[in-house]
Amino acid sequence: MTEHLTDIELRQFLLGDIDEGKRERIEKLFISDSESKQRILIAEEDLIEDYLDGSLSPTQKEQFLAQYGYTPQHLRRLQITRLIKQHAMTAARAKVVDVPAPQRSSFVFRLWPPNMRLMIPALAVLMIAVIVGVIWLSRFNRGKFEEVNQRASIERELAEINSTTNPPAPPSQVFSLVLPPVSVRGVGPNNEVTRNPATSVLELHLLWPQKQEFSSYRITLNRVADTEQLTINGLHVQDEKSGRAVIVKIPTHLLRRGSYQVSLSGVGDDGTIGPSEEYTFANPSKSY
Amino acid sequence: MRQRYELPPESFDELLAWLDPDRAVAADLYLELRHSLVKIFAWNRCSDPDGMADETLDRVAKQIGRLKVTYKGNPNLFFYGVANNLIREYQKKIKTHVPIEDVDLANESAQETDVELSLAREKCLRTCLQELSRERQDLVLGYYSKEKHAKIDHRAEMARKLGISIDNLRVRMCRIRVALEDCIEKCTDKLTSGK
Repeated sequence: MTEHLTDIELRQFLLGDIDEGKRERIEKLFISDSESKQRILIAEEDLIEDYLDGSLSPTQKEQFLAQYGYTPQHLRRLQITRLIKQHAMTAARAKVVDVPAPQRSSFVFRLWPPNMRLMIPALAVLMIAVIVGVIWLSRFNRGKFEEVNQRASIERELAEINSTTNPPAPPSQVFSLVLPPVSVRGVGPNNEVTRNPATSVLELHLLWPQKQEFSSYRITLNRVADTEQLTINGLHVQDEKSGRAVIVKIPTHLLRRGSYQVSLSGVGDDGTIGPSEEYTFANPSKSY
Repeated sequence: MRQRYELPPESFDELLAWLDPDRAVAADLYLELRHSLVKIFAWNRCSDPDGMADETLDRVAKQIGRLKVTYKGNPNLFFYGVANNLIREYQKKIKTHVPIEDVDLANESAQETDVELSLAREKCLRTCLQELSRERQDLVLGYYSKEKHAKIDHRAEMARKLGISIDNLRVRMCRIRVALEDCIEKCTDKLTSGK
């Protein structure tokens, strides 16, 4: 039953850009021929990866979103693939370097015959020491690993929500706050995040008064009295009604009650950081 | 395997027997068939692919007595014929009654962007990865550890180290990923429905 399916045909099929006859032919192969089914699933995986890598042309991206942003099954598939990729990339970055196995020391060799009776307790002590050491090291590494992983997970979530490839949240779930820099603000407007159970994303519109243009912008966010600081890179300035602004999205579940400081800086092509602007806002709610 | 409640038990048994005389093999074929139908309905942008896959199975089960005698060929193609009719009915209904722009995409997005659901999936990914053998875990994490152009060279290197072709590596990964995705979905359903 195996028929030849070209990569182009499969991609057109997956993007919904194919005539009725070809669609039926491919679907029949998908349901009746295991080899073709596998090929189609692999082609779909490639397409999803190309979308997540930002490698699709604007037209293909539009077709992809029309096709894969529609059913819960496809949205779920998309999210799971994104999750697996992110997890794999984080794990690759955080991979703990293997501890080299301890080498047999010359001391041990000196204890070896002629006196075996001394050798056995010495080996036992050595083994206990090695086991205790390994357990301690693994706990220490696990603790460090989890800390790094948790932080990486938050920064990953922030990067993802601010990525241009991420579909925007429905307006009903977004709370927008326009923030002028602290330096130009007189009597400040209300910079409080209003509590609303439906809100899942806080969208900060950070007004950018500087004339100088940068290739990208970065922010650091921290809660007053906290030492922990989160960074979001790769942001861009855009023209809005209230002026030029950098838009930053923050999932509200990451926010705790308190005042927050935001520092926004331009980043040049060579990675140099330009002068920054400071902003503040407050989250009076205990939790979202 | 859970029997679908809409079907009388005898029809369900006959349906399984039509797929394969060995009940265990038939059960696997049934699940794979249902999965394929769900995918086909999703590709055709049907709003309820799961429900339509079940409707297809119901419609075929109602004719099973006759089909066993008269139908010759791959049963899956008969299921596809019924599914394709459902797709046409659905598309006709959409064109007649609901302009495509009016479909409430926001609801779907809201459901899928739910933060708790994302967190549950993340937790399930870790659980499901741990259920894989060490070798498979390394394969998944290695396969997806690079992006864009770097991933092409990296995967070629992985295939070389495993002594298999890049196509074989993709097939192997596809199987693992399908199983992993299935595990994540089941685990997430369990976590979110348990609340």
